[in-house]
Amino acid sequence: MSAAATRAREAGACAGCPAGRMCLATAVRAHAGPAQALSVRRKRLHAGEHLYRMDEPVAGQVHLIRVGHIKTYHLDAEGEQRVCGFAMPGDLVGLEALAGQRHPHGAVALAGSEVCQLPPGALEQALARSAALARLFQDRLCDELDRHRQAAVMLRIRDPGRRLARFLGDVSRACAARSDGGAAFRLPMTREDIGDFLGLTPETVSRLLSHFQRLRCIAVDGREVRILDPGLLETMAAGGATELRLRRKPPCPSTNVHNGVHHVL
Amino acid sequence: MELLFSSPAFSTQVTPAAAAGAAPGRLSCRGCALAALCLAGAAPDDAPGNRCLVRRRRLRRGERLFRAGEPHAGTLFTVRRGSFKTSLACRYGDQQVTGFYLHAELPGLDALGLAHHRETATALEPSEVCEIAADAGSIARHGPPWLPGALRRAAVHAIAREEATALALRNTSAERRLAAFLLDLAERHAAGGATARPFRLTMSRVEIASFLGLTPETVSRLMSSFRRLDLLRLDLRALSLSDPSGLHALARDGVLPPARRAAAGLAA
Repeated sequence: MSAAATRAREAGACAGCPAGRMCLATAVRAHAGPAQALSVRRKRLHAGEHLYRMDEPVAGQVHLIRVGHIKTYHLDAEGEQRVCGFAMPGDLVGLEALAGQRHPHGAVALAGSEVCQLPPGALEQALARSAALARLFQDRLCDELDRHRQAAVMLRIRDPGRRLARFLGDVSRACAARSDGGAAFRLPMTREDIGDFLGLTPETVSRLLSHFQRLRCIAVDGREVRILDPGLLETMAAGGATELRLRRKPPCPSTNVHNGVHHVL
Repeated sequence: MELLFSSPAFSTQVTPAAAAGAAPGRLSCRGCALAALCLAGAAPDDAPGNRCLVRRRRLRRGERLFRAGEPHAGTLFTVRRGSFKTSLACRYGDQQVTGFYLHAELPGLDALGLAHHRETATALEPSEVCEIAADAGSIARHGPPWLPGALRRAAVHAIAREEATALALRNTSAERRLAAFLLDLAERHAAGGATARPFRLTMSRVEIASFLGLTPETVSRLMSSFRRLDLLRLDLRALSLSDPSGLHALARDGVLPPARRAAAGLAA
Protein backbone atom coordinates (compact mmCIF):
# COMPACT_ATOMS: atom_id res chain seq x y z
CA MET A 1 0.00 0.00 0.00
CA SER A 2 1.33 3.47 -0.84
CA ALA A 3 2.27 5.85 1.97
CA ALA A 4 -0.55 8.19 1.01
CA ALA A 5 -3.07 5.38 1.11
CA THR A 6 -1.76 4.25 4.51
CA ARG A 7 -2.12 7.76 5.85
CA ALA A 8 -5.61 8.08 4.43
CA ARG A 9 -6.55 4.81 6.05
CA GLU A 10 -5.08 5.96 9.37
CA ALA A 11 -6.91 9.28 9.16
CA GLY A 12 -10.12 7.35 8.63
CA ALA A 13 -9.32 4.98 11.49
CA CYS A 14 -8.58 7.92 13.79
CA ALA A 15 -11.99 9.45 13.12
CA GLY A 16 -13.74 7.63 15.94
CA CYS A 17 -10.70 7.21 18.19
CA PRO A 18 -11.63 7.14 21.89
CA ALA A 19 -8.49 9.10 22.72
CA GLY A 20 -10.14 11.95 20.81
CA ARG A 21 -8.50 15.30 21.18
CA MET A 22 -6.03 13.97 23.74
CA CYS A 23 -4.27 12.08 20.98
CA LEU A 24 -1.05 13.45 19.63
CA ALA A 25 -1.49 11.97 16.15
CA THR A 26 -4.92 13.58 15.80
CA ALA A 27 -3.60 16.91 17.03
CA VAL A 28 -0.78 16.76 14.52
CA ARG A 29 -3.24 16.28 11.67
CA ALA A 30 -5.23 19.24 12.88
CA HIS A 31 -2.18 21.50 13.35
CA ALA A 32 0.25 20.46 10.70
CA GLY A 33 -1.89 18.78 8.09
CA PRO A 34 -1.93 15.13 7.03
CA ALA A 35 1.42 15.41 5.24
CA GLN A 36 3.17 15.91 8.58
CA ALA A 37 1.25 13.16 10.28
CA LEU A 38 3.01 10.52 12.26
CA SER A 39 2.79 7.06 10.90
CA VAL A 40 1.92 4.67 13.66
CA ARG A 41 1.49 0.97 14.15
CA ARG A 42 -1.38 -0.35 16.18
CA LYS A 43 -1.11 -3.10 18.73
CA ARG A 44 -3.92 -4.83 20.58
CA LEU A 45 -3.50 -6.13 24.11
CA HIS A 46 -5.79 -8.38 26.08
CA ALA A 47 -6.37 -7.81 29.79
CA GLY A 48 -3.25 -8.77 31.72
CA GLU A 49 -0.96 -8.64 28.68
CA HIS A 50 2.31 -6.75 29.09
CA LEU A 51 3.38 -3.91 26.87
CA TYR A 52 6.85 -4.18 28.39
CA ARG A 53 8.38 -5.39 31.63
CA MET A 54 10.46 -3.60 34.21
CA ASP A 55 14.23 -3.47 33.55
CA GLU A 56 13.78 -4.67 29.97
CA PRO A 57 15.94 -2.68 27.55
CA VAL A 58 13.72 -0.26 25.66
CA ALA A 59 12.54 -1.85 22.42
CA GLY A 60 12.44 1.57 20.84
CA GLN A 61 8.83 2.59 20.92
CA VAL A 62 6.76 5.22 22.60
CA HIS A 63 3.22 4.00 23.13
CA LEU A 64 0.18 6.17 22.79
CA ILE A 65 -2.88 4.62 24.37
CA ARG A 66 -5.85 4.45 22.04
CA VAL A 67 -8.32 2.23 23.87
CA GLY A 68 -8.39 0.84 27.40
CA HIS A 69 -6.14 1.39 30.40
CA ILE A 70 -2.52 0.56 31.09
CA LYS A 71 -1.17 0.12 34.60
CA THR A 72 2.50 0.89 35.21
CA TYR A 73 4.11 -0.77 38.20
CA HIS A 74 7.40 -1.30 39.95
CA LEU A 75 8.64 -4.54 41.50
CA ASP A 76 10.42 -4.10 44.81
CA ALA A 77 13.27 -6.22 46.18
CA GLU A 78 10.82 -8.89 47.37
CA GLY A 79 9.10 -9.05 43.99
CA GLU A 80 6.10 -7.23 45.43
CA GLN A 81 4.19 -5.17 42.89
CA ARG A 82 3.85 -1.44 43.54
CA VAL A 83 1.57 0.58 41.29
CA CYS A 84 3.16 3.67 39.70
CA GLY A 85 0.19 4.94 37.77
CA PHE A 86 -2.71 4.39 35.43
CA ALA A 87 -2.54 5.61 31.85
CA MET A 88 -5.71 6.41 29.93
CA PRO A 89 -6.49 6.89 26.23
CA GLY A 90 -4.29 9.69 24.88
CA ASP A 91 -1.58 9.19 27.53
CA LEU A 92 1.97 8.28 26.56
CA VAL A 93 3.89 5.40 28.13
CA GLY A 94 7.39 4.11 27.50
CA LEU A 95 8.85 7.61 27.11
CA GLU A 96 12.21 6.30 28.34
CA ALA A 97 12.67 5.11 24.73
CA LEU A 98 13.57 8.73 23.94
CA ALA A 99 16.50 8.62 26.34
CA GLY A 100 17.49 5.05 25.54
CA GLN A 101 17.20 3.74 29.07
CA ARG A 102 15.84 0.55 30.48
CA HIS A 103 12.18 0.57 31.40
CA PRO A 104 12.00 1.80 35.01
CA HIS A 105 8.59 0.12 35.40
CA GLY A 106 6.47 -2.56 33.77
CA ALA A 107 3.32 -1.75 31.78
CA VAL A 108 0.34 -4.08 31.67
CA ALA A 109 -3.14 -3.74 30.17
CA LEU A 110 -5.95 -3.60 32.78
CA ALA A 111 -8.57 -4.43 30.17
CA GLY A 112 -8.64 -5.10 26.45
CA SER A 113 -6.56 -2.21 25.14
CA GLU A 114 -5.05 -0.86 21.99
CA VAL A 115 -1.96 1.30 21.60
CA CYS A 116 -0.50 3.28 18.73
CA GLN A 117 3.25 2.75 18.59
CA LEU A 118 5.63 5.51 17.61
CA PRO A 119 9.15 4.36 16.78
CA PRO A 120 11.55 7.03 18.19
CA GLY A 121 13.48 7.36 14.92
CA ALA A 122 10.36 8.21 12.96
CA LEU A 123 9.10 10.30 15.86
CA GLU A 124 12.31 12.37 15.99
CA GLN A 125 12.16 12.89 12.23
CA ALA A 126 8.55 14.01 12.40
CA LEU A 127 9.43 16.32 15.30
CA ALA A 128 12.29 17.84 13.31
CA ARG A 129 9.97 18.36 10.30
CA SER A 130 7.15 20.02 12.10
CA ALA A 131 7.58 22.80 14.65
CA ALA A 132 3.89 22.46 15.55
CA LEU A 133 4.35 18.80 16.37
CA ALA A 134 7.55 19.50 18.33
CA ARG A 135 5.69 22.06 20.39
CA LEU A 136 2.75 19.74 21.01
CA PHE A 137 5.05 16.93 21.97
CA GLN A 138 7.06 19.08 24.39
CA ASP A 139 3.80 20.23 25.98
CA ARG A 140 2.70 16.62 26.36
CA LEU A 141 6.02 15.72 27.99
CA CYS A 142 5.57 18.57 30.46
CA ASP A 143 2.01 17.36 31.12
CA GLU A 144 3.35 13.86 31.81
CA LEU A 145 5.93 15.38 34.16
CA ASP A 146 3.15 17.25 35.93
CA ARG A 147 1.02 14.09 36.16
CA HIS A 148 3.89 12.35 37.95
CA ARG A 149 4.56 15.34 40.21
CA GLN A 150 0.90 15.44 41.15
CA ALA A 151 1.06 11.78 42.18
CA ALA A 152 3.86 12.66 44.60
CA VAL A 153 1.98 15.74 45.81
CA MET A 154 -1.06 13.58 46.53
CA LEU A 155 1.04 11.01 48.43
CA ARG A 156 2.46 13.67 50.78
CA ILE A 157 -1.06 14.38 52.01
CA ARG A 158 -1.55 12.47 55.25
CA ASP A 159 -5.34 12.25 55.30
CA PRO A 160 -6.44 9.13 53.36
CA GLY A 161 -9.83 10.73 52.62
CA ARG A 162 -8.15 13.66 50.92
CA ARG A 163 -6.02 11.32 48.83
CA LEU A 164 -9.00 9.33 47.61
CA ALA A 165 -11.09 12.46 46.95
CA ARG A 166 -8.21 13.87 44.91
CA PHE A 167 -7.86 10.63 43.01
CA LEU A 168 -11.57 10.48 42.13
CA GLY A 169 -11.47 14.12 41.06
CA ASP A 170 -8.44 13.42 38.86
CA VAL A 171 -10.07 10.40 37.20
CA SER A 172 -13.24 12.38 36.65
CA ARG A 173 -11.36 15.29 35.08
CA ALA A 174 -9.30 12.92 32.94
CA CYS A 175 -12.51 11.29 31.67
CA ALA A 176 -14.05 14.70 30.98
CA ALA A 177 -10.95 15.74 29.00
CA ARG A 178 -11.44 12.63 26.85
CA SER A 179 -15.10 13.46 26.24
CA ASP A 180 -16.31 10.54 28.34
CA GLY A 181 -18.43 12.83 30.43
CA GLY A 182 -16.71 12.85 33.78
CA ALA A 183 -19.68 12.85 36.13
CA ALA A 184 -20.04 9.08 35.67
CA PHE A 185 -17.19 6.74 34.87
CA ARG A 186 -15.99 3.21 35.29
CA LEU A 187 -12.90 2.60 37.38
CA PRO A 188 -10.76 0.24 35.33
CA MET A 189 -8.64 -0.80 38.30
CA THR A 190 -9.29 -2.92 41.38
CA ARG A 191 -9.62 -1.50 44.90
CA GLU A 192 -6.25 -3.10 45.56
CA ASP A 193 -4.59 -1.20 42.72
CA ILE A 194 -6.21 2.05 43.85
CA GLY A 195 -5.00 1.43 47.39
CA ASP A 196 -1.52 0.64 46.18
CA PHE A 197 -1.40 3.78 44.04
CA LEU A 198 -2.64 5.93 46.93
CA GLY A 199 -0.46 4.25 49.56
CA LEU A 200 -3.55 2.91 51.38
CA THR A 201 -4.90 -0.55 52.11
CA PRO A 202 -7.76 -1.86 49.92
CA GLU A 203 -9.93 -1.96 53.08
CA THR A 204 -9.35 1.74 53.68
CA VAL A 205 -10.27 2.48 50.06
CA SER A 206 -13.52 0.48 50.39
CA ARG A 207 -14.39 2.09 53.73
CA LEU A 208 -13.76 5.58 52.37
CA LEU A 209 -15.84 4.89 49.26
CA SER A 210 -18.73 3.85 51.53
CA HIS A 211 -18.22 6.95 53.62
CA PHE A 212 -18.28 9.20 50.54
CA GLN A 213 -21.52 7.47 49.53
CA ARG A 214 -23.09 8.13 52.93
CA LEU A 215 -22.19 11.81 52.49
CA ARG A 216 -24.03 11.62 49.12
CA CYS A 217 -20.88 12.83 47.46
CA ILE A 218 -20.65 9.88 45.09
CA ALA A 219 -22.66 6.78 44.13
CA VAL A 220 -20.68 3.57 43.67
CA ASP A 221 -21.92 0.40 42.02
CA GLY A 222 -19.09 -2.09 41.68
CA ARG A 223 -16.62 -0.20 39.54
CA GLU A 224 -19.14 2.33 38.27
CA VAL A 225 -18.77 5.69 39.98
CA ARG A 226 -21.10 8.64 39.70
CA ILE A 227 -20.15 11.97 41.20
CA LEU A 228 -23.23 13.49 42.84
CA ASP A 229 -21.65 16.48 44.55
CA PRO A 230 -18.51 17.69 42.72
CA GLY A 231 -18.22 20.68 45.05
CA LEU A 232 -18.07 18.49 48.14
CA LEU A 233 -15.56 16.17 46.47
CA GLU A 234 -13.34 19.13 45.70
CA THR A 235 -13.67 20.48 49.22
CA MET A 236 -12.65 17.10 50.61
CA ALA A 237 -9.71 16.89 48.20
CA ALA A 238 -8.54 20.31 49.35
CA GLY A 239 -8.72 19.27 52.99
CA GLY A 240 -11.66 21.41 53.98
CA ALA A 241 -13.98 18.54 54.83
CA THR A 242 -13.23 18.27 58.52
CA GLU A 243 -16.03 20.64 59.47
CA LEU A 244 -18.37 18.74 57.18
CA ARG A 245 -17.35 15.51 58.80
CA LEU A 246 -18.00 16.92 62.25
CA ARG A 247 -21.36 18.24 61.20
CA ARG A 248 -22.50 15.17 59.34
CA LYS A 249 -22.06 12.23 61.63
CA PRO A 250 -20.86 9.54 61.68
CA PRO A 251 -17.25 10.50 61.14
CA CYS A 252 -15.27 8.34 58.79
CA PRO A 253 -14.05 5.33 60.74
CA SER A 254 -10.87 4.94 58.73
CA THR A 255 -9.51 8.44 58.75
CA ASN A 256 -6.80 8.21 61.31
CA VAL A 257 -5.48 10.49 64.00
CA HIS A 258 -3.56 12.59 61.48
CA ASN A 259 -6.79 13.95 60.23
CA GLY A 260 -8.20 15.06 63.52
CA VAL A 261 -4.96 16.40 64.90
CA HIS A 262 -3.91 18.02 61.69
CA HIS A 263 -7.03 19.90 60.81
CA VAL A 264 -9.17 20.30 63.89
CA LEU A 265 -6.52 21.82 66.12
CA MET B 1 13.04 40.44 44.52
CA GLU B 2 11.74 39.96 47.97
CA LEU B 3 14.18 38.65 50.51
CA LEU B 4 12.92 36.20 53.02
CA PHE B 5 15.78 34.76 54.96
CA SER B 6 18.84 36.43 53.51
CA SER B 7 21.47 37.09 56.11
CA PRO B 8 23.36 40.41 56.08
CA ALA B 9 26.60 38.50 55.55
CA PHE B 10 25.47 37.40 52.13
CA SER B 11 23.86 40.56 50.90
CA THR B 12 27.16 42.41 50.67
CA GLN B 13 28.48 39.81 48.23
CA VAL B 14 25.52 39.87 45.93
CA THR B 15 25.53 41.41 42.47
CA PRO B 16 21.92 41.82 41.50
CA ALA B 17 21.09 40.31 38.09
CA ALA B 18 24.59 39.20 37.19
CA ALA B 19 26.24 41.56 34.77
CA ALA B 20 27.35 38.79 32.45
CA GLY B 21 26.11 40.55 29.33
CA ALA B 22 22.58 41.50 28.40
CA ALA B 23 22.57 40.50 24.74
CA PRO B 24 21.48 36.91 24.12
CA GLY B 25 24.14 34.82 22.48
CA ARG B 26 27.06 36.57 24.16
CA LEU B 27 27.35 34.09 26.95
CA SER B 28 29.38 30.98 26.49
CA CYS B 29 29.28 27.62 28.18
CA ARG B 30 32.96 27.12 27.49
CA GLY B 31 34.86 26.35 30.64
CA CYS B 32 31.71 25.65 32.63
CA ALA B 33 32.27 22.61 34.83
CA LEU B 34 28.67 21.53 34.31
CA ALA B 35 28.69 21.63 30.49
CA ALA B 36 28.54 17.84 30.21
CA LEU B 37 25.44 17.64 32.39
CA CYS B 38 23.66 20.79 31.43
CA LEU B 39 20.98 21.39 28.83
CA ALA B 40 22.77 24.47 27.46
CA GLY B 41 26.06 22.59 27.47
CA ALA B 42 24.75 20.35 24.67
CA ALA B 43 25.76 23.14 22.27
CA PRO B 44 28.49 22.18 19.79
CA ASP B 45 31.97 23.28 20.95
CA ASP B 46 32.64 25.61 18.04
CA ALA B 47 29.53 27.74 18.62
CA PRO B 48 30.86 31.28 19.25
CA GLY B 49 28.32 32.05 21.95
CA ASN B 50 25.47 30.00 23.17
CA ARG B 51 22.41 31.30 21.39
CA CYS B 52 19.96 29.80 23.85
CA LEU B 53 21.64 31.30 26.91
CA VAL B 54 19.84 34.51 27.77
CA ARG B 55 21.56 35.61 30.96
CA ARG B 56 22.99 34.50 34.25
CA ARG B 57 21.45 35.51 37.49
CA ARG B 58 22.67 35.35 41.08
CA LEU B 59 20.31 34.87 43.98
CA ARG B 60 20.66 35.26 47.70
CA ARG B 61 19.58 32.59 50.09
CA GLY B 62 15.79 32.75 50.41
CA GLU B 63 15.37 34.73 47.19
CA ARG B 64 12.66 33.51 44.83
CA LEU B 65 13.58 32.50 41.30
CA PHE B 66 9.91 32.44 40.29
CA ARG B 67 6.59 32.31 42.06
CA ALA B 68 3.41 30.32 41.61
CA GLY B 69 0.96 32.33 39.53
CA GLU B 70 3.62 34.59 38.06
CA PRO B 71 3.51 34.88 34.23
CA HIS B 72 5.89 32.40 32.63
CA ALA B 73 8.58 34.15 30.58
CA GLY B 74 9.12 31.11 28.38
CA THR B 75 12.63 30.66 29.75
CA LEU B 76 14.03 27.76 31.71
CA PHE B 77 16.58 27.97 34.49
CA THR B 78 19.44 25.56 34.98
CA VAL B 79 21.21 25.65 38.31
CA ARG B 80 24.82 26.72 37.83
CA ARG B 81 25.76 27.01 41.49
CA GLY B 82 23.91 26.42 44.73
CA SER B 83 20.56 24.72 45.25
CA PHE B 84 16.84 25.43 45.10
CA LYS B 85 13.59 24.06 46.43
CA THR B 86 10.24 24.20 44.69
CA SER B 87 7.08 24.44 46.74
CA LEU B 88 3.39 24.38 46.16
CA ALA B 89 0.77 26.09 48.28
CA CYS B 90 -2.30 23.94 48.72
CA ARG B 91 -5.61 25.35 49.82
CA TYR B 92 -6.42 25.53 53.53
CA GLY B 93 -2.99 26.79 54.39
CA ASP B 94 -0.67 23.86 53.96
CA GLN B 95 2.40 24.05 51.82
CA GLN B 96 4.49 21.30 50.32
CA VAL B 97 8.08 21.08 49.21
CA THR B 98 7.85 19.30 45.86
CA GLY B 99 11.48 19.08 44.84
CA PHE B 100 15.12 20.01 45.38
CA TYR B 101 17.32 21.11 42.50
CA LEU B 102 21.10 20.91 42.37
CA HIS B 103 23.62 21.80 39.66
CA ALA B 104 22.47 21.47 36.04
CA GLU B 105 18.92 20.56 37.12
CA LEU B 106 15.85 22.39 35.86
CA PRO B 107 13.35 23.75 38.39
CA GLY B 108 10.00 24.56 36.79
CA LEU B 109 10.41 22.37 33.71
CA ASP B 110 6.86 21.06 34.11
CA ALA B 111 5.45 24.57 33.59
CA LEU B 112 7.26 25.19 30.29
CA GLY B 113 4.65 26.08 27.69
CA LEU B 114 2.17 27.31 30.31
CA ALA B 115 1.13 30.92 30.74
CA HIS B 116 1.90 30.92 34.48
CA HIS B 117 4.25 29.22 36.92
CA ARG B 118 2.68 26.48 39.00
CA GLU B 119 5.21 26.47 41.79
CA THR B 120 7.55 28.76 43.65
CA ALA B 121 11.31 28.19 43.46
CA THR B 122 13.48 29.50 46.30
CA ALA B 123 17.29 29.53 46.60
CA LEU B 124 18.47 27.45 49.57
CA GLU B 125 21.90 29.11 49.60
CA PRO B 126 23.66 31.81 47.55
CA SER B 127 23.08 30.44 44.06
CA GLU B 128 23.42 31.20 40.38
CA VAL B 129 21.26 30.13 37.45
CA CYS B 130 21.60 30.26 33.68
CA GLU B 131 18.44 31.36 31.95
CA ILE B 132 17.69 29.56 28.69
CA ALA B 133 15.23 30.61 25.99
CA ALA B 134 13.40 27.32 25.73
CA ASP B 135 9.85 28.15 24.71
CA ALA B 136 8.67 26.96 21.33
CA GLY B 137 8.55 30.49 19.90
CA SER B 138 12.15 31.42 20.58
CA ILE B 139 13.40 27.98 19.54
CA ALA B 140 11.54 28.38 16.23
CA ARG B 141 13.04 31.86 15.73
CA HIS B 142 16.61 31.42 16.94
CA GLY B 143 17.18 27.70 17.21
CA PRO B 144 19.46 26.14 18.21
CA PRO B 145 18.49 22.89 16.47
CA TRP B 146 19.78 20.56 19.20
CA LEU B 147 17.80 22.19 21.99
CA PRO B 148 14.38 20.53 21.47
CA GLY B 149 15.91 17.04 21.60
CA ALA B 150 17.93 17.91 24.71
CA LEU B 151 14.79 19.32 26.32
CA ARG B 152 12.82 16.16 25.57
CA ARG B 153 15.52 13.98 27.13
CA ALA B 154 15.62 16.28 30.17
CA ALA B 155 11.83 15.90 30.52
CA VAL B 156 12.07 12.11 30.28
CA HIS B 157 14.72 12.07 33.03
CA ALA B 158 12.63 14.40 35.18
CA ILE B 159 9.61 12.12 34.75
CA ALA B 160 11.66 9.11 35.89
CA ARG B 161 12.82 11.09 38.94
CA GLU B 162 9.24 12.03 39.87
CA GLU B 163 8.16 8.44 39.47
CA ALA B 164 10.92 7.32 41.83
CA THR B 165 9.91 10.02 44.33
CA ALA B 166 6.27 8.93 44.25
CA LEU B 167 7.32 5.32 44.65
CA ALA B 168 9.29 6.18 47.79
CA LEU B 169 6.23 7.93 49.20
CA ARG B 170 3.94 4.90 48.81
CA ASN B 171 3.70 2.72 51.89
CA THR B 172 7.36 2.89 52.72
CA SER B 173 8.73 3.43 56.20
CA ALA B 174 10.30 6.71 57.23
CA GLU B 175 13.73 4.97 57.44
CA ARG B 176 13.50 3.84 53.83
CA ARG B 177 12.37 7.24 52.60
CA LEU B 178 15.16 9.13 54.33
CA ALA B 179 17.86 6.61 53.36
CA ALA B 180 16.78 6.73 49.71
CA PHE B 181 16.65 10.52 49.81
CA LEU B 182 20.18 10.89 51.21
CA LEU B 183 21.60 8.41 48.70
CA ASP B 184 19.91 10.22 45.83
CA LEU B 185 21.26 13.54 47.04
CA ALA B 186 24.81 12.17 47.35
CA GLU B 187 24.64 10.65 43.87
CA ARG B 188 23.45 13.90 42.36
CA HIS B 189 26.22 15.83 44.11
CA ALA B 190 28.87 13.38 42.93
CA ALA B 191 27.60 13.42 39.32
CA GLY B 192 28.36 17.11 38.97
CA GLY B 193 31.96 16.59 39.95
CA ALA B 194 31.68 19.99 41.58
CA THR B 195 31.24 18.73 45.11
CA ALA B 196 33.22 15.80 46.35
CA ARG B 197 32.02 14.24 49.55
CA PRO B 198 31.19 15.64 52.04
CA PHE B 199 28.51 17.88 50.62
CA ARG B 200 26.50 20.65 52.17
CA LEU B 201 23.01 19.76 53.30
CA THR B 202 21.38 23.06 52.36
CA MET B 203 17.80 22.08 53.13
CA SER B 204 16.33 22.28 56.62
CA ARG B 205 14.79 19.36 58.49
CA VAL B 206 11.40 20.95 57.95
CA GLU B 207 11.95 21.09 54.19
CA ILE B 208 13.22 17.52 54.02
CA ALA B 209 10.26 16.37 56.13
CA SER B 210 7.80 18.17 53.87
CA PHE B 211 9.34 16.63 50.74
CA LEU B 212 9.32 13.13 52.24
CA GLY B 213 5.83 13.39 53.74
CA LEU B 214 7.21 12.99 57.30
CA THR B 215 7.25 15.16 60.40
CA PRO B 216 10.38 17.25 61.15
CA GLU B 217 10.71 15.36 64.46
CA THR B 218 10.90 12.04 62.62
CA VAL B 219 13.58 13.40 60.28
CA SER B 220 15.63 14.69 63.23
CA ARG B 221 15.25 11.45 65.15
CA LEU B 222 16.28 9.36 62.15
CA MET B 223 19.25 11.59 61.30
CA SER B 224 20.48 11.09 64.88
CA SER B 225 20.01 7.35 64.72
CA PHE B 226 21.75 7.18 61.30
CA ARG B 227 24.64 9.04 62.90
CA ARG B 228 24.72 6.73 65.89
CA LEU B 229 24.80 3.74 63.53
CA ASP B 230 27.69 5.42 61.70
CA LEU B 231 25.78 5.45 58.43
CA LEU B 232 26.58 9.12 57.99
CA ARG B 233 28.56 11.98 59.46
CA LEU B 234 27.09 15.42 59.87
CA ASP B 235 29.35 18.27 60.89
CA LEU B 236 27.31 21.46 61.03
CA ARG B 237 25.75 21.10 57.60
CA ALA B 238 28.53 19.11 55.94
CA LEU B 239 27.16 15.66 55.30
CA SER B 240 29.14 12.58 54.31
CA LEU B 241 27.74 9.11 53.90
CA SER B 242 30.13 6.81 55.74
CA ASP B 243 28.31 3.61 54.81
CA PRO B 244 26.49 3.93 51.46
CA SER B 245 25.93 0.16 51.17
CA GLY B 246 24.28 0.12 54.60
CA LEU B 247 22.04 2.98 53.50
CA HIS B 248 21.27 1.13 50.26
CA ALA B 249 20.18 -1.92 52.25
CA LEU B 250 18.09 0.30 54.50
CA ALA B 251 16.47 2.02 51.50
CA ARG B 252 15.69 -1.32 49.87
CA ASP B 253 14.66 -3.51 52.81
CA GLY B 254 13.91 -1.06 55.60
CA VAL B 255 16.42 -2.84 57.88
CA LEU B 256 20.18 -3.11 58.04
CA PRO B 257 21.76 -6.45 57.05
CA PRO B 258 22.24 -8.81 60.05
CA ALA B 259 26.05 -8.49 60.04
CA ARG B 260 25.80 -4.71 60.00
CA ARG B 261 23.25 -4.78 62.82
CA ALA B 262 25.52 -6.98 64.92
CA ALA B 263 28.46 -4.66 64.31
CA ALA B 264 26.39 -1.72 65.46
CA GLY B 265 25.46 -3.61 68.61
CA LEU B 266 21.81 -4.09 67.68
CA ALA B 267 19.81 -7.25 68.21
CA ALA B 268 19.78 -9.33 65.01
